[in-house]
Amino acid sequence: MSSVIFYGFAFLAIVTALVVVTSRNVVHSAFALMVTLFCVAAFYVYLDADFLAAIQLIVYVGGILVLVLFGVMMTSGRLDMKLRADAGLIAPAVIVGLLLMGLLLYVARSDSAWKRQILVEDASQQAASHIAEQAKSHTELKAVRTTPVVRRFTASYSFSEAPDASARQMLSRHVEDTIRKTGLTRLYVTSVRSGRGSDRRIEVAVEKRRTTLMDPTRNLSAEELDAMTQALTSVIPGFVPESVQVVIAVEPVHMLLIEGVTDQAVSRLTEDMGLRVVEDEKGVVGLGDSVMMGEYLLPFEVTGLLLLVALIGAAVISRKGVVV
Amino acid sequence: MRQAVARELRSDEMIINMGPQHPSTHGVLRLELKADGEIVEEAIPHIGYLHRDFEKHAEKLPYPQIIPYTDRMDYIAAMNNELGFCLAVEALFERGGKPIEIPEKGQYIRVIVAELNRIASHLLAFGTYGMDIGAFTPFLYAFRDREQVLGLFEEVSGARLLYNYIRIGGVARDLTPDFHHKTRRFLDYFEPQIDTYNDLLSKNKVFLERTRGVAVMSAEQAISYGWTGPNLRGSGVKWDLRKDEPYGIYDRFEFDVPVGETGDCWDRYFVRMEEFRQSVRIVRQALHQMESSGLLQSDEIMGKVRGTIRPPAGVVYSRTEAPRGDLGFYIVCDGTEYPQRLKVRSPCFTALSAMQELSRGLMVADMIAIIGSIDIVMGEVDR
Amino acid sequence: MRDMELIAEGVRTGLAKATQTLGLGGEWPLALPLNAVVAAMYIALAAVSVGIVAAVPIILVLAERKVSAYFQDRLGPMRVGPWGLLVTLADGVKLLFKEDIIPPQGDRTLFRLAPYVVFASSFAAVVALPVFPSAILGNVSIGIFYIMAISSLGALGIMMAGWASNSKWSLFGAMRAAAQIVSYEIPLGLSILMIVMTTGTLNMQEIVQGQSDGIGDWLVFRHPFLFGAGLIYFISSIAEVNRTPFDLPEAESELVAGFHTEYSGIRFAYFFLAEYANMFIVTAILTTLFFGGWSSPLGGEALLPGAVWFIAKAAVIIFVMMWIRWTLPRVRVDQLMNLCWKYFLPISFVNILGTGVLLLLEGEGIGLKLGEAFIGVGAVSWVVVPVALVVTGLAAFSGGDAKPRAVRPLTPSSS
Repeated sequence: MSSVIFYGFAFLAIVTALVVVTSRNVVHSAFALMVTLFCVAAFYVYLDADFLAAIQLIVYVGGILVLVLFGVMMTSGRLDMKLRADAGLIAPAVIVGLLLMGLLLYVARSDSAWKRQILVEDASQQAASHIAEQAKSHTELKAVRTTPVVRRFTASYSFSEAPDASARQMLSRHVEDTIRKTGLTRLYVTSVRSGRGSDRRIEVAVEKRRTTLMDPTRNLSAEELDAMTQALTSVIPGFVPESVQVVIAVEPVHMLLIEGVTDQAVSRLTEDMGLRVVEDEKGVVGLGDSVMMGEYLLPFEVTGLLLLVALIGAAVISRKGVVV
Repeated sequence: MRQAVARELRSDEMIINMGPQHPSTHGVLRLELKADGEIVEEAIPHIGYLHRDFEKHAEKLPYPQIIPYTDRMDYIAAMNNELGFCLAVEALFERGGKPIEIPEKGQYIRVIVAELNRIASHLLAFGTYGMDIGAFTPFLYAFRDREQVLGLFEEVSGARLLYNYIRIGGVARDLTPDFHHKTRRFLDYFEPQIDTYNDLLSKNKVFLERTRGVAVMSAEQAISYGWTGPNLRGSGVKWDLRKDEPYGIYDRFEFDVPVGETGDCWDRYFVRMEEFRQSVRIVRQALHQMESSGLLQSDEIMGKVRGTIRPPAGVVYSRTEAPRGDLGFYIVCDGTEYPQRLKVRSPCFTALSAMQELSRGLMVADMIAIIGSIDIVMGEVDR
Repeated sequence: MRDMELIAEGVRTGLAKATQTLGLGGEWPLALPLNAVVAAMYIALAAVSVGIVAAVPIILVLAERKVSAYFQDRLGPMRVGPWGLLVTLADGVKLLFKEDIIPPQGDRTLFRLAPYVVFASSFAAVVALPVFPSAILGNVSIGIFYIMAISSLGALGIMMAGWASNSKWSLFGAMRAAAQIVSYEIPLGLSILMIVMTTGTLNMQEIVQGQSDGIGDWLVFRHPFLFGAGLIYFISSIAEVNRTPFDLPEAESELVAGFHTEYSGIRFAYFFLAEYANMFIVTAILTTLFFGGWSSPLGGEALLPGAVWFIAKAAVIIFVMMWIRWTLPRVRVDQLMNLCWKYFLPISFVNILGTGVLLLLEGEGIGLKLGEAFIGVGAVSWVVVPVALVVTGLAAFSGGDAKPRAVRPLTPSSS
């Protein structure tokens, strides 16, 4: 279902982008650009980057596009301009265009981190061998690797009587301070919740972000877990020690690294093996470590180059003296 | 300096047409605005949409039959128009040596209805001004009170808006037996309302921001443009025909003449608010004087006038203080029952003539504030 | 999407059980493809959202007419339905049957598209409002941020409408509206920033949950800086929805009807609906962020269910909005911009500073100790800050009431 909507957005983005470039009416181009940028925001949502999607809407659609529209509407000059460049410029333009297109395609199909990372729950503690065996029978997937991954633990605080509203905030801050003091990186408090079924318990979940199979040191190691357990079970400021009990619970998950990206194949794999998917990390531009400055630096720079080319082109086209 | 530069640069000048069908131009007025973005460079009023040829008609009508036509000039303050005309004709008689004796009751009734009509007219000015600026509620309050005045007029003359009531030599009908009770009740109800209106609109910060300092007209400029009435008084000139050249029995009443300070839109508007109080005072005094001299029992409201009115030949220019200014009637009489020439000096016409001066350098939104503050009625401008 | 598929499975099995008990055969629902069920669920969600956006304006239009009538010493619509209750439906039917006039010289495509863009932005924002404590149509983790983002689409729809009408007046109105909306988004965003600073989350439900300890826990009453933020948010939101005193874009007496002058019939109805829906949305956000959303003044969900409290609070705020509309005149465009940039923005910055300082102090546990009792910094600031303001105000504005100075003395003309 979601792929249908995605294709819809993709189609809309392409069509409106074509309208932007080919339309004779400048105002039509501007409004088509609005739709294109809106579709880009939708793409961000599909990449699990909600925040970026909202920023895209606010900054581009609500800010820059309004600016563009003001400019376009105020210069009530010629709205129907037929632009034609010199014949001599066509050949170099085609060559440069093809080069840039080739670069874009190469980048899009390059296989850096574009693999699926799925976290599945390992109830039987034997998932590793189980998975590796089963995966051999799914031939459409190129490779399946699996590793036990520790990336989240929950510190559960039980009080002798129901805590007040500020307890949650204090606990969360305490955990954050502890993390800072132990000097561990990429650990974040993701949620502070009342315990299920008991209002005398508060659960603080801590997650290590950007774990990956590529680099085992990126997961939560045993030493880190020990350090955190020790630090967290020590004195908590603001609470009388006897009334609080701390239990650290670790989520046992396995990470599957799969090459081959169809949703259906992946879901069949996990269903057949009876695994419960904890989280499906398709995102490459989510919060946490910036991928843009890491694995995707080349595409990022290429995009910037394209922007520059477009600006120069626009300036060249709009200067006086061009045949109209 | 700015204008010279603007002419050279030929920046984005738009010609915007306000009206003739526009909610805020108080009738059919077409304002041609040359605007540079939001700033108005020139505002040229185009009038004549309501021209009904009153003056030409008057040359073919016997004098009493002209009175309904005078109603329809400034249709908001019809009684004052009638009063002006009748006084002019009576002045003709006086100049010709045959003065008409208007009975006391007739004089008092004339004053009462003229001042009540002033209240009604200023109520409309207040309400529509608020509405133009964007405050919708004062409009409805104003009309609620105006309904009461119109009810009084309906009792007295039979009509709500165009009365044909003040006649040459007096008034057409006597007051109803409890007219003075009803009028007193209205005045008692209305006087505290003026404070309510001031609290609601006049002292409102947003209203002040919109009207204070906008379109300032100095006293010299106002006089040179021929402004009269509340517009002139807003600019600080204390000139009111009822005090300075009293007609009828206005010299028997005690009232003040409110005068503004800076001559901006707010001053012109506030002069009208203060005139409410003075009109209430005058009507109260008139009623009291009528009561104490036992006139309420009398029924002499019309002087000794023939059926056909033939004033002695002559020329007269007579003026009265209408709610919008100095309304003048210039009549050339050749001794027949029709006037040879009748010309009206309309205060709204002269007020509108200063539009260009007032609006230079202001914004489009201020145009609305200006038109409302000078309180024009196109019926009188065009006649 | 995984969650949706899980829910769809649940729906499928539930449907199977239902049809079984009703005797319609319990096997065929399980055979329905999951994708179709998910699609049907999305459509149902969208329908609910559209329903809200359509139903709320119906009530609000009637409320506006009655409220304005009573303010103006009259009765309002009385004949259409008992006490005039069906008047909005009558209006809607009338608008449906009106002739569809499209300005001949205008841009037909954009003219037709504009009402839908404006309507779509309202409709998309309704989804994220936390009316119920337990369920929310779209519990987005970036709740309030999403609503801000989607609302900025409305400005574009207005510009489209103004441009496509091919009338200088409409264009004027559209430009002013866009400038107004974009400018007032800034104090709006800064006020929201203060809320996010204090609660630490963008999620609407969590923001409400953080205020569910009674009326003293409502963010607007925590300390004067948040109160100021609430006030600025309220006034900015009136500017965002283009209501008097900020209704220049639709100024009836100046530009006839501004950017929607040329619209008639059902197209005009869309703008109308979108305006009232927007009013409801900004009021709902104000309620959620500052006034505790669905929590009752006695904490949690005492006395009445959460949704009722939410609607009641929103209704009170909407009434205040209407009250303001029928009392105050319209502000001129330069005064409006002046207000935003020269007054609201600096005040918002001061508020942020104050909020940050107080948060810091609260975190350190600083407060006033009176014997056994401990009064938090927030409560103390309620005394300290107003006193400071009064003292500063007296010092700055001493010397009596300044005479209003002429803003634009007339330059001597050449005549």
